[in-house]
This record gives sequence, structure tokens and C-alpha cells, in this order.
Amino acid sequence: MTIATDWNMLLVKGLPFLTLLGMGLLLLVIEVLWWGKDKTIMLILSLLAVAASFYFAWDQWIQNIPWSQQLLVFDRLSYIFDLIFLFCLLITLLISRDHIKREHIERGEYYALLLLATVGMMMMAHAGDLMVLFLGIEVMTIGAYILAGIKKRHSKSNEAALKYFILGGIAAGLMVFGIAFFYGATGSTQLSILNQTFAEVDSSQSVLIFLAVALILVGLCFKIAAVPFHFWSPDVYEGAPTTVTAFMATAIKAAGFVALFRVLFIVISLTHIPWVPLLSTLSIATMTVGNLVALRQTNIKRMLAYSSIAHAGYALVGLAAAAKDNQLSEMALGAIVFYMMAYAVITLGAFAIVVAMGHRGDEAEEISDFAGLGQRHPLLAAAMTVFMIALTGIPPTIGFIGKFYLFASAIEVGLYTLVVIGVLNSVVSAYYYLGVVMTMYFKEGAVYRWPPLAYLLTTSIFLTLLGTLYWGVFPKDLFLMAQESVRQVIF
Amino acid sequence: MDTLVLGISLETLAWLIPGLPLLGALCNGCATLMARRSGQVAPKPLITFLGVGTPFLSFMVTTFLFFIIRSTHHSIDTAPLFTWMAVDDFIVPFSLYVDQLSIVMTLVVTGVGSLIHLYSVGYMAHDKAYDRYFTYLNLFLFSMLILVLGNNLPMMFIGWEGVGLCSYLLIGFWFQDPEKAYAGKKAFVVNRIGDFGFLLAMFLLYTTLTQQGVDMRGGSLNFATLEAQRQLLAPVATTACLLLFVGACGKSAQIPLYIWLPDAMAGPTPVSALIHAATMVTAGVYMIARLNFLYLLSPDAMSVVATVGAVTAFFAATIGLAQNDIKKILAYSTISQLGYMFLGVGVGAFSAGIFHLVTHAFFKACLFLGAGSVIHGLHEEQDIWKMGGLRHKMPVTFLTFLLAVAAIVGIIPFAGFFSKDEILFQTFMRGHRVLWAIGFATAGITAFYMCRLFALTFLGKSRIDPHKEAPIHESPLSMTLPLMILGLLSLIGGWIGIPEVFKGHNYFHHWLQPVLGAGTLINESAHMHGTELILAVASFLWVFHVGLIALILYSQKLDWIKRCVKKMDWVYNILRDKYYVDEIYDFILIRPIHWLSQQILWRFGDEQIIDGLMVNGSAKTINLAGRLLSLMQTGWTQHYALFLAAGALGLVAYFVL
Repeated sequence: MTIATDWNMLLVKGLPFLTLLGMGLLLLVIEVLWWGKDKTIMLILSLLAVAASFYFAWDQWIQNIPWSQQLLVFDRLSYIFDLIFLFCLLITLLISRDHIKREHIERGEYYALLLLATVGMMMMAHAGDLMVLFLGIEVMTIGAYILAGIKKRHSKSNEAALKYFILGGIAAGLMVFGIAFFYGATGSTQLSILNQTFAEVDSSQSVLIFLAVALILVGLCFKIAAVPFHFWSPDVYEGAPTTVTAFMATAIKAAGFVALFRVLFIVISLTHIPWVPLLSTLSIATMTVGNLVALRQTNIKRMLAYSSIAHAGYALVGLAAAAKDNQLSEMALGAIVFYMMAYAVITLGAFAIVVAMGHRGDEAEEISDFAGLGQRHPLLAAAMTVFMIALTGIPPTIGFIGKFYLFASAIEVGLYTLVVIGVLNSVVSAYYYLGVVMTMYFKEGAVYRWPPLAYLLTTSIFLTLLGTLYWGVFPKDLFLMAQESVRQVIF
Repeated sequence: MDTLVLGISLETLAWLIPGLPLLGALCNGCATLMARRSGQVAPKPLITFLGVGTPFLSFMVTTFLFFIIRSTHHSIDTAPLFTWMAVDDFIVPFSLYVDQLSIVMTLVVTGVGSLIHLYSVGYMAHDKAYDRYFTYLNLFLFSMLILVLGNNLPMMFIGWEGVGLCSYLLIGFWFQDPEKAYAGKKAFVVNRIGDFGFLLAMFLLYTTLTQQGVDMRGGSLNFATLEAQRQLLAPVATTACLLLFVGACGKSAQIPLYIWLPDAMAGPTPVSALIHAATMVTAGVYMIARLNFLYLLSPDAMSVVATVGAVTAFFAATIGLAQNDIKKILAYSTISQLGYMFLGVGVGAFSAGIFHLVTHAFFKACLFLGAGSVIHGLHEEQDIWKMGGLRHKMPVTFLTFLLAVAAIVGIIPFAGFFSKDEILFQTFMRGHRVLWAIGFATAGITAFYMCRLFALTFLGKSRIDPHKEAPIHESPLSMTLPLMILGLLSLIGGWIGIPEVFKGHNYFHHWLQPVLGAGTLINESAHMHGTELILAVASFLWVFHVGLIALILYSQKLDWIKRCVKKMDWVYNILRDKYYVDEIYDFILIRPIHWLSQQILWRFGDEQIIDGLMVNGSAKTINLAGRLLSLMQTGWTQHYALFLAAGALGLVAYFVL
């Protein structure tokens, strides 16, 4: 079954990731030919590409003309995630410059890999075929493997890259296995065809399909670091350069969720799988383990790693709510999309501050390094306080609104136990988030002159702070946008 | 009503009355805060200007409005400044109500208040916290005016709580002294007990009206609505009135909640004069008069009010006989006089109660300010046994004090005579003979202890410490001027209500008639004049002679007095120790509550159960769980892969099986 491809249409619709792809490749070429030591040009080019791509994605979101080309689909859901990825990329680029200079990893491929990894994520968001989805995952993850280990002379960075690579390889292998089972059972990997097959043929007895779904889920749960597939993330987050960690914790997590959406849209109609108990169990395990272990962390990056696991657990609450009645409900999906945005804004801000804390030769990654920050740098401490409050989910921040929508959507379908556990988990999380605040204000720290903060870093902190507070008070537009995005999903 | 005066509407003028003191409080408060930040004291002339100027302006506006009302006979009900609360159909607009009753009260509050502000300039001149003092005093005036002028019960309650707060702040004004801070706390706590009654009464009235389906969108619980719907309130009137009276007992220091007022004398003397004699403590009387339509529905509640008033009057007066602190005597006298007012409103003579409230404000403020002048002159000496013979050294204080004593004792034609006898006459005429007898006896006791106070302070020989004697001087003009004005008012203040039997026109009662109704005064028809005259003359002769005896004994026969006291020392001791009421409360209430709080609720409930088991226990459990779970994070990739595989297996098993 071949349909003549409308190349012009594809070009226009695919501009967001084509721009990034082109710029990523261009940067690799420039890196080879460019002999100057100053890589500012790379940053500028990357930012330009991000801006252009952002414009194209925004334009397409506004136009709202869903179009499917079998392998790739273009709907609002994919574009909103393009926008999320681009925002994460933007903030990562902004906080990168000074950090990678300090760490001596300022190379062209750093920028190129960030851009190309983002292209991979976008392919996941636009995937209309399981093979494209897998391809996107691989493009994204391979970029992430290298970025995690980019501090070549740093044993922790190497360890992180290797662990990530080995475990990621296993997960990818299992996933590809699952896709193969799908192909074996139905003769296709295209999502639209799978959808039709499930609708027409009673597949409740097919062990192959169950195996396929289970294995693909393992691969995706690995990406969003759901328990018990989360073990890689603290080690990798700790070892990787902080900016890369920020990127992984936000963009890759969002990419994992959009991939999960794409798969779930199809397999949710398999009525013989008890989706709600399954997703609820995953959710409870993920948020509980994430929060409980986060309590014991002394390293801020590890703490944020476990916190990101916990937040994936909260988002899974929304997914469990969405899966009720074997069709994904719009309200819950919209809440998850909103939560992804909220979580990305807050976490990027928190990581920006972790980057700002560091100095040449001292990355200041321990929570105890924050002691006395309230006196040394009141504004930075105040910003960190806002981010920590937002991560806990306290008003008037976007973190509260995000959690509110998630839990509200779960209440709507009667998942009270799940919400109670979620709220209790939030209480536990207050301990370690506010612990950072307490350390900043109530513990004596080393007194030294604070160097002026880099301009780009300040900008990124300001942007994330603004987003956290503004959307915390006026969430309506953003929430409507998230709701709109899940209204008309195509395969 | 949109009458314009100099381009200002009457409503705006009404708002100015509480608005001006609020402005003063805000400006003074800001000045104080800013000065404290830089470690200085705010400039005194500015504080004085704002602190004294705004009440005076407010008084002038009030006077103006008074004449407007007098000529138009209309009350002013302002449009809401804003809606304070709007929850479903519970709506509280913030608006004022100026009628014959509230304008009288406002005149007293702003008039006496302004004089006391002026007096404070001299009295507090050397205090370090001069600026803070005026901030609080202006804030008090604002709260009191809201209490008086508010057009609904919730607004009255704002003022009610506001004056309570200011009273607390000013009693504990010198909070460095733990005893004074404690007195402030005691006043606040006792007042809160009363406020509970007030709150419950509001809830009761509101639920009753809601259940009857009354449309209250124009403002819930405003006085006009309550009065219009009073028939619906008849079934709950007794309960509501008694609950409100609990509030009044707290605020106006009646049995059993009077115990805070004597201790409240720890505050600066002008504060005692303004808050704890002339204005705040009379709020309870005002509230009952304001809600007269409600009280008239419940004869039971009225008789409770009257009885409590009469008993308090007698009880407090007897305690006053044996006190030695000049301010404590005046405090008990205040409680006693408040009892008279409650007796008046309790027997249904609302206007008589308010009349006594007004005259009492004059002469009691004068007495307190005079006492303040004496204390100031003697450098903080308050024991009347260490005074004496001050008539030569402080002539102005002496004279004005004399006028006020004559007024409180009830000598013709001083202010207190007309108001007190009005109450006693009305009590008698309405058939409360026992209460009348108590009131009559109390009048004699009052005469005795007031003359005792006066004689020991101003007459006889000086008993002042010799080395303190030299610098005694009359107080400055800022203090003596208010004294003179109040002294004059103690003389002529009662003439606004001279009854017909003395060829007067009973102007005051006619003035209040539109609010309190015609039935509130027994019509003074001619055949009752005889009774009234007999009662008045009897009471006059009684207090005159008792007072005279006290004057002579305490100025010239001190040895004889001392021997008498020694012989009857058990009676004297009981009176001196205030019937041990504080000790009884301490034993039956405070200590058990303390014990319960400390041993059961705190040591066991809070520390063991809540903190120990629940808070720390759950935290420890969670911490332990976190530690166990983090053991899985070994750092070995093999282990991670194992867990991953196990998870995958589990998932597959879940699906397939």
C-alpha cells in the first residue's frame, strides 16, 4: 500500500525538525573546518536554529491542519511537544556556555549533539510508525549517551555514559523485540494499520500481542525512568555534566511520555489488558520509591534525579486516569501535557541555579554547598526557593497548578486511592525540597565574594522564574493550549 | 439624603468621623515604624499635631452633624463604602448609621476623647514611646467610632474587637514590666470570653432569619432589618439577648467578668480615663440600647440584665470602700456605675441608662484625669495613704476633682444627681423595689468611698514622703485645661435631662425618643411628681450625710478610723482582698485548665502522641523505608540490569498470565 508522498507538504510540515537537523549537521562541518578556539558562533547558530524551529512549530500549531504521512504524523500533540523540547533546548543552551567552558567540554559536537538529540525527540513526537518511533528513540539516546560521557577525563562521566549505554541497549533491545512481535502478529508496524487490526480482529487471545505490548512498555518506561526501570537515572544524572542532566531530566522525559502516548493510543483498545491497575501500580511504585529515596540524598543532582522519577510517577497518575474506560480521556491527557510543561520549566530553573552555584574546579553539587546562600546571594536563594516550592506543589506556582489538574482528572474518574497516595507523596517530598530552602537560609556557609553571574545564565533563571510564577497565577491560557493539543490526535 | 454642605455630602461627613482618627493612626503608625527603623523617635510636634488634631476635627464634624440632625430630625444611613463580605446570601456592607442615639454616643467619644488626647500630650510628654502611644490611642478612637456608628452587628463587632485590641495594647503599654503585660493579657482573655457570647448571638440571629427565609441581600444583620423582622426573632430573643449580654459583661466589666478592669489600671492614666471609664466599657450599655427592640421581646433577659447590674453596682462599691490605690478605687467605682447603667437599661429605661452613660463619661473622665494629675505631680505615687493636703499645692486639680466627686455622689444640681436618680426612680416606678433598694444603698456607699478618697487625697495633713514633697507642682495647662472643661461638664452636663418635677424639659429623653420609642420612659404625669420628688430628696439627703461623715472622718479623725478598722479587721480584709474572687477563679478555673493543658494535652497529647508517635514516628518510618530502598541503588550495572530484567519479566507475566 503506497501513497504518493506530497513532498512539499512534508517539507513544510517537517520544518521544525528539518531546521534543527540541518543546523546540527552544519555545526559538525563547521567544527571540523573551524580552527578558532572561541565557539560563540556555534551557540549563536544553535540559538538561531532553535528560534526558527520554534517559529515553524508555533505556526503549525496555530494552523492546526492535522496531516498523516503514514510514517510521520503532524497534529497539535506532536507540535506542542516540539515546542516543549525546543524550550528545554533553549534553556539548556543558555545555561551551557559558561558551564562547558569551565569543564573544558566546549566543542562543536556538544551543540550539534544537543540539536540532533532534539531531532530524535521530535521524530518520536511525530511517529506514525513503530519503526520511526524506535528510530527517534535511538537518535535521541545515542546523542544523550555521548553527551553524558562528554567529560572524557572524568571517571564519573565515563561511568555514567557506559551505564546508560549498557542499560539503554538492553531496554532498546527489548523494545525492538516487542516491535518485531507486533509485526509477527499483525504484519505491520504502522500505527494506523495496527489500530485498524485491533478494531477488526479479536486479539484477546494473542500471546504475541501481549508480549509485544509488554516489551514496548518496558522500553518506554525505561525512558521515563519508571520504577523498576529507573536504576540508571540517578547514576547517569549525577555523572553527566549538569547542563546535560538538565536536558535529560526534562526533554527526554517529555519525549518518553509522548512516545507512551503514541503507543497507548493504539493499544488502549486491547480491552483484556487491565490498564488502570497496571498504570496505577506503576505510578504508585514510581512516585513512592522516587520520593523515599530522594529523602536520603546529599547530592543535589541525585536528589533532582529521584525527584524527576517521582514526578514521572505523578504524571502516571494522570495516565492511569486517562486510561479509564479504555479510551484516552482528553482532560487527563491535557493535564499530563500541562504537567510536562510545568515540570520542564521548574526543573530547568532549578538546574540553572545548580549551574550558577558552580565555579571553576568546584561544581558545588552537594546540598550542603547551598548553606548560607540566603546571605551570600539573596536573589539566587529566593529563586531557588520558588523552584523548590514549585516542585513541592505549593501555590502560587505552576507546580501547584500542574499537580492540581493531574489529581483533579484522577478524582474525576474516581481514582481516589491513587490521589491520596499522590498527595501523601507530595508531603514527603516537601521534606527534601524544603530541606534545600532550610539549608540556604538557616545554615552557616562559607563566606566568599560571589562572582557576577553570567548574563545568559541570569536570563535563563529569570525566564524560568517568570514562567513558574506567571503561569502559577494565570494558568488558563497555557492549560487551554494543552487541552487543545490533545483534542484531535491522528495516527 | 444628598444635602450638600460646602460641597461635601453628609455621607462623606459621616465617613470623616471615624476616618480622621484612622488617618491619624496610620500616619502616626508609619512615622513610628520609620523612626524605629533608623533607631530614632518620630518628631513630637508632628505626632502631637496628627494625634490630637484628628480627634478634634472629628469632634467638630460630629458637632456639625448633630446640629443637622437636630434641625432635620432625619438619621443618616450611608451607602456602603464597600462590601466587606459577600458569601452566598450573607452580605455585610461597610456602612454607617448616624441617628439620635449614635450621634450622642459619638459626641461623647470624640468630645471626651479629644480632651483626653490633649491631656495625654502633657501626661506622656516624657515617655519614650510617645509616638506609639498616640498611634494606639487614635486607633482606639477609630475602632470605638466604628462600634458606635456601624449600621450592622458584624461592623459593631469589628469595633468591639478593635477596642478590645487597643485596650490590650494600651494596658500593656509599658510591656517591659511583666505585671503590666500580664494585666493586658488578662483583659484580653476575659474580653474574649465575652466576645464568644456576642459571636454566638450573631450566629443565632442570622440562622433564625435565614430559616424564616428573610431577604437579607441589602445587608445581613443590619439594625434596620433586625428591627423590621423582630417578630420573627421572638422565639430566640431570650437566648440571643442573654448571649449578647455575656458579651456586654465582658466588655463592660459586670459580674462575673469584671475582674479584668481593676488590673487594667496598669495602663497610662489617660488610657484608664478614656477606655476604661468613659467610652469602651460603656459599649455594652450602648449595644443593649441599640438593640432595645430585641431586649423588649424578652422580659426574662431584661430582668437578668437589671439584676446583674444592681448586684454589680453594690458589690463593686463595697470593694471600693477598702482599696488604697487611687486608680483602683476609681476602677471599682466605674464597675459600680456601669452596674447602674445596666440597671437602667435592664428595667427598660434605656434613655436613663444612656443619660447616665453620658454624665458618667464627664465626671469619671474628670476623676481619672484628676487622679492622673495627682499621680503625675507626686511622681507615680498611687497610694492614697501617702497623699493628703494637696488642695494647696494643686488647686486646679483640687477644684475640678471636687466638682466631679459632687457629681458622682449625686449632689443637686451636679450631673450625676439627675442621671442616677432617673435610674433609681424608673426602677422604683416599674416595680423593682428590691433592685431599687440595692441601688439606693449603693448610692450611699458610693458617697462614702468617694469622699474618703477625696479627703485622704486633698484634705487633712500631708502624709507625703518628706523628700518627695518639695517638687510637687500643679500640672501643665495641657492637662489642666481638659480638667477644667470636664469639671464644668460634671456640673452642668446633667442639665440636658432635668425632669419636669424640677421644672425641666427632660430634653435628653425627648431627643432619644425616635430611637428608643415612647414606651421606654414611664410617662411623667403629674400625679407621679410627688413620688419622684420624695425619692429624689431622700436619696439626696442620704448621700449628702454619708458623704459628709466620710469627709469629716477621713480628714480629721484618722486615728478613730484606724481603731475602727482594727476592730472589724475581718470585714475590712475581705473587702480589701476583693472577696477573694480572683483567688476563687484561680482555684476553680485557671489551675484545673492549666493542669489539663500542661499535663494531659501538652505533655501527653502533644509531646507523646502527636509529636512522638505521629509526627516523628511517621517521619522515622519513612526515613527507614528510604534507607532500605536506597540499598538497591548499588552502583553495579549488573544489578541494575537484573532489576530491569526482573521488571520486564514481571510485566510480561502480568500481561500473559
